[in-house]
Amino acid sequence: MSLRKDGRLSRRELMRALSLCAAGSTVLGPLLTGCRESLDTPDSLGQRGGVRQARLDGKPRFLIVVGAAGGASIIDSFLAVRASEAGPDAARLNTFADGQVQGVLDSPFRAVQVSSPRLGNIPVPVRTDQLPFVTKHKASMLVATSVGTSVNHVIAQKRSLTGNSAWRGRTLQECVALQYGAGFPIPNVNMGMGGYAERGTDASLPAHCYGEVVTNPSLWPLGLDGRKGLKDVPPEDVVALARQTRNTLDARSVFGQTFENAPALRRWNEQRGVGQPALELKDLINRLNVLPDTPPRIPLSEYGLSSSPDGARLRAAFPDYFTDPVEGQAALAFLLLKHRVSVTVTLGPSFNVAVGGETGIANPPLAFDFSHNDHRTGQAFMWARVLRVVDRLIDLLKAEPFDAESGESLWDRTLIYVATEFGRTRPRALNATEFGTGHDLNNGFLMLSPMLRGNTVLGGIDSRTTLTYGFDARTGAPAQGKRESNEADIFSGILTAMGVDTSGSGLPDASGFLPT
Amino acid sequence: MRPETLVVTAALALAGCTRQPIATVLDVDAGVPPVGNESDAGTPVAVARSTRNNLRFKGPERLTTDFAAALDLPPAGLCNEVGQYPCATFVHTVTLGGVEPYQSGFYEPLPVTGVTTPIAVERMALAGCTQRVALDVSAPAAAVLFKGVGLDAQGRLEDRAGPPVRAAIQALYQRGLQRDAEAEEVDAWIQLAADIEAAGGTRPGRDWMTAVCFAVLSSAESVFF
Repeated sequence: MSLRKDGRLSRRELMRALSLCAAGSTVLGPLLTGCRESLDTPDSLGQRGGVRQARLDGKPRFLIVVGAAGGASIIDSFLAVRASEAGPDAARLNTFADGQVQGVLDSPFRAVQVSSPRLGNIPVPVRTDQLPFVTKHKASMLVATSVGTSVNHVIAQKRSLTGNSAWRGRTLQECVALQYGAGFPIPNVNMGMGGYAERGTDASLPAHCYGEVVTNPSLWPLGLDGRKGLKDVPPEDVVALARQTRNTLDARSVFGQTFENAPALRRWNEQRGVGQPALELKDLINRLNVLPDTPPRIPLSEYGLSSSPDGARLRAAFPDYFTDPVEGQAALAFLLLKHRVSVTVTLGPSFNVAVGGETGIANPPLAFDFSHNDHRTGQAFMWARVLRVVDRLIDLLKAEPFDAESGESLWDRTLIYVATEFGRTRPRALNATEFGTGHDLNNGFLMLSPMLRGNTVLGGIDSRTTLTYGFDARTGAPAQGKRESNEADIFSGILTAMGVDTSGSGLPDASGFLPT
Repeated sequence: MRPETLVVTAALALAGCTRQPIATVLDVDAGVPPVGNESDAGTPVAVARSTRNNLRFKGPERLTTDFAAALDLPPAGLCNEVGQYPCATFVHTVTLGGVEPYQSGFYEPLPVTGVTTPIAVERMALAGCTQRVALDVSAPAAAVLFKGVGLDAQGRLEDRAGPPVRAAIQALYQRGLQRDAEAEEVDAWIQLAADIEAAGGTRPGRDWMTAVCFAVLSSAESVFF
């Protein structure tokens, strides 16, 4: 190519120049990007924000969020403090009699034992022991200390999922659905309450990333087919013909043409034309159905329905599935992951009383927030409730093969995040064993997964004040005296363990959450 | 062409790629005249596409009352899962755009429909239509929708394109969509009857009644406003 004497390009030279530019950008782009990426160090990545993940193996990972509503206190569980460790203020702080706090062999965790004839003013006994759970699951447990930014329930619930808008307001579940959920019929199912069920604020995500809200887990699968389970209806091929005619007329009607560009109608047409057939094809109305065929209360066979092949096993694991929403949610969560319907599922207790269980009370009013009334038994009861469900879920996931070739179980690719709003205030009346507490920003989160740095506490606890201190998210090293908010660290740590590509997000490097 | 001219031209071209139209006055696809949009003289009239596109989904209460009114059924009996759990007020409430403040702390409706919403709508429409057809067939004198629509010995419509069938389609549109069915719509539903007969079912006439009722009630026009 040469410039002519008058400094102009001929038409042929112009075309050649443009072709070379196009070819150059195609070939050199990835090459230059690769060179730049190879120069990245953890420090430079941290400064730029976000962590580039290793190339994914193409297989999904699964996130289960358990919303421990009301404020699950980490010092009433795995970071509990013995009175003898707390010094002169022990009798006025939320410390336990030494015998109630058990050490766990070869582990930084502790386990609390509580025995009380009543749950606050509710006349049901509370006898809980966290030791079996910690002993069984310590290898996959990680506790990260935290300082939040809100003591309002709904706001703090949402911030526990968005890291206080750490990444454009996306929730953890939305990030996971974006990374892994494209081929799943309902990537993000949300059965949580209040702020745990809210959407993030990043409206730019594909529609499949946002949570599908489920409020009645045992009956919800009945809504996964437009025809099955209804009596005296036309055969499948007739309904298909009717749908086809309807959709054609819809598109050609004055209404359809007038609102052709309306987002609501476009979404509707996609949900009806793509999403619905994908769900019906999998026969989820039966495969996700935990209910047994027990006429007259639940007459499945009369309506042409059947229980899931896993139904009996799940009903044994979660016997109160029909009356205790959390048990019903857990059973459905397992089936959603097993049948590759979802990559992330959210569940958890609500603030409502649930009857059932051994004592007749499955859930006290306000869940963990019952601590306003009676902190110690409220926390003990609710921790036992949450850990029981988590334990059973893990057992089910461990028994479920994920990949025959690699020998991985479903649990090998799952992370359970026990989200909560905040901790509880520490003071108590002198040596009181029955006392109420308020909301406190200082706390910690429990996570469980083989993909995490197991048997680990990130941060620590100052036994003289019972307040937790922070940690360096990149290295995992404790940082005594660090009491600043670290919502973004927690958010980033979970996404890092989940293998979500956070490059360009501005999130801190949270490699400290990964196995060493 | 001078190199600097090339640069300027490229920059303008790139800027042009991202420029948004200022306004759309009328956007008509001249090739496909819309159904139901003809002048009195029968010539197709252009449809002005909405510029606001502010469509709202009806939600569980409106859907229940509209479907129940269209089918002349009591709202409580319109749709109950496995015969006992109300579809709109219990099982699919939030899916249909309702709230559930007491159990789930769900105080505001979802801002958009979910992937299971069309399914819940179809279940409500199909459950209701099945009941209406059963009533109309068993008591023709008191029929609400399919008045005078006879069935032959093979369970087919006696006269697929006859006046009773056309009147039933009009009744369905009037009760379900509050407008008359257009000629093309009537033809499409009559063709559906032929297709269903060709499919070889055991009761094609009755299946057609349920199918056309279901399709009209679950149409986009029926569930948005």
